[in-house]
Amino acid sequence: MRRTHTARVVAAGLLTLSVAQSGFSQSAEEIIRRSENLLKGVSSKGKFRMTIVTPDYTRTMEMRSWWVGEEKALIEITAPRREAGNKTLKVNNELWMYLRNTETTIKIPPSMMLQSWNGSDFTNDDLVRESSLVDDYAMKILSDEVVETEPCWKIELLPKPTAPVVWGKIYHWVRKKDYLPSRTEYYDEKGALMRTLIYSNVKQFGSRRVPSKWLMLNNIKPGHTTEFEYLEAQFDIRLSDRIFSFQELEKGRNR
Amino acid sequence: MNLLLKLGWRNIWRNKRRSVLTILAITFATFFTVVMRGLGIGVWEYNVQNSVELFSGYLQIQRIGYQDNPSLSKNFPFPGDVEATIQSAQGIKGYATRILADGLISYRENSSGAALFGVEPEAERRVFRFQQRVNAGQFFEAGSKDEVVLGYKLLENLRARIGDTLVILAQGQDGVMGNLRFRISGTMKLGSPEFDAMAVFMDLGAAQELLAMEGRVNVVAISVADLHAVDRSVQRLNGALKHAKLDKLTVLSWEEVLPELKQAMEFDKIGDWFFLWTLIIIVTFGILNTVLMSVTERFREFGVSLAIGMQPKKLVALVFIETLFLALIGIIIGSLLGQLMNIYFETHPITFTGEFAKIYEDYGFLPQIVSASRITIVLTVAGFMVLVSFLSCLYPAYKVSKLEPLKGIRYT
Repeated sequence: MRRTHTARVVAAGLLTLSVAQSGFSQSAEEIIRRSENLLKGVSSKGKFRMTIVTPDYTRTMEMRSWWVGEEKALIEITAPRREAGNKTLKVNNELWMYLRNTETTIKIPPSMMLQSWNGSDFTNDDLVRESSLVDDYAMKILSDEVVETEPCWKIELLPKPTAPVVWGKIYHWVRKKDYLPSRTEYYDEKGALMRTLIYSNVKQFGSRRVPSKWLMLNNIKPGHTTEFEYLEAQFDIRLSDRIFSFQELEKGRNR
Repeated sequence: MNLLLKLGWRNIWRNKRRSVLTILAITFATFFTVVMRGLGIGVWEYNVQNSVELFSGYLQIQRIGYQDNPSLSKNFPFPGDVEATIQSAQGIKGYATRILADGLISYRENSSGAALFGVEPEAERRVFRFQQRVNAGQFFEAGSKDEVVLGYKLLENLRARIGDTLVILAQGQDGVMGNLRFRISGTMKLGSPEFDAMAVFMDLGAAQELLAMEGRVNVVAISVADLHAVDRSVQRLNGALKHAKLDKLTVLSWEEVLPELKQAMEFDKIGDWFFLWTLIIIVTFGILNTVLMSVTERFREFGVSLAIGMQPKKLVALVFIETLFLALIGIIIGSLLGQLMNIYFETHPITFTGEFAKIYEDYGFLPQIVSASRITIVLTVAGFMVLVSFLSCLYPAYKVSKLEPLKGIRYT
């Protein structure tokens, strides 16, 4: 009887301690994990617009996408008409492209993973990467910074020695208010800034509030940017596994 | 002076054996150097000429900055004013326009990155030889917009066969991902591993369609008579481009288009020069040795000459004249033989066969030893040899100039 009481007191003490901890100084890992979970959801479905800007041209594409966690995804281009019907299927760490014009499915070979995805400043690797940042990077909170009037944690991520990643260093800013990402900077092994991802326009989509604009600045090729803008999004819905099959991939676009 | 010449000439033949040996040494050194230079220059020019005539061209017209950072967007309209400009320039043997792009090639479940070349088969055939490297099937005909020729290694990697249909995906200059179907009409073996595993040739028209490049090209590859016409042609064409107000374009020589080839050539030249200098040093000491011997042998005679009133400077001149006679005879015979040898190997190159040839080909060289019979080679080598003989009698001449009559007479 007495022992249980002591145990309860100790447990209560521990609990308050851990609550205090999470309130004041939670680890960088916790912040990142929480932030990632906010964006991901179990599954999602949405429409978005991708605007690619280069010194030579600006073009806008519209797409539909279906995601299950980070493992499976299908993205279909709906506009412009020349590319409408082209699809990208991701299953685990493999990527296929269905090309409507030639009615073929191409598997993206590993050597092409760092190439641009559909002409954007995102790479095929960006789509394929399925592991959480927490798995591949060692991280620590560097400082508190204000990014566009929002107080943020600035977190430094360095790749773990065995992690199969392409970046030498990542800086990630997470908003203190709602744990949403605000900005990510990708550096190469030599420490040069390669690209910057800026999240903005937080909007309510169903049960979730997420940044609706994702702007990727290509720091190696000045003047090249890609912007994703969510037009519609639904989270945590039931998606049939059939969506992510080859049959579905090679079907026409009247789904 | 006349007397000295006569005296010198006679002196040479007083000791025939020694003189003949010296002449032979100089002859051999000259012959060997001329042949070495001939082969060195011949093999390199032959290889360079072959590789530029294979594909890259002696000259290329590109957008400024394309060479350092190639991209599809650095293109220009053709024919436009460019064609007329090329045609107005003198000494152009022929030219062909090309589009170069990166793409993805896919056959069934296999896919690979590819280097796409849009070419005009007929124009290319007139001046460039890569179409002779088709090792299976055939090169597509002009205007055949649905056929491609692949590097043989690429075909193997895709596990496809000639006649199969594949799909090529590439981003056009407007950013749109173009994709078209092609039939494989043949494969090529160009000798460069990257090329054989990446290259895809298609008709220029097909490339323009795939990449949204209607009426535009990235490169005009130009052929001229030979390597020696390159610098002049670059100047002429650059002038013509400027005159036509095409100031976004520039003309590059093969040295700029293929810097690795140029570097390899320079590197090889350094080796050649090192060898040449070693040879020259050996020859110098050989000549020095004979001249010194012949002079010391005759110290008594020189002493007597001085005693009866010969001026020392005339004796010095005599030493130089004798050496020069020996050297000239050697150089003339050596150059003649060397030049004959070079002419022979220029017209009858040695071609390796079997394993040895394969090693050469794997490194992208032609398994062939060919010479160059350039008169400049003979002249430079001869000049060098004269200089060397002159240098090598400085010391003996110095000894003679310091000779005192009595010491000379008593010299044993």
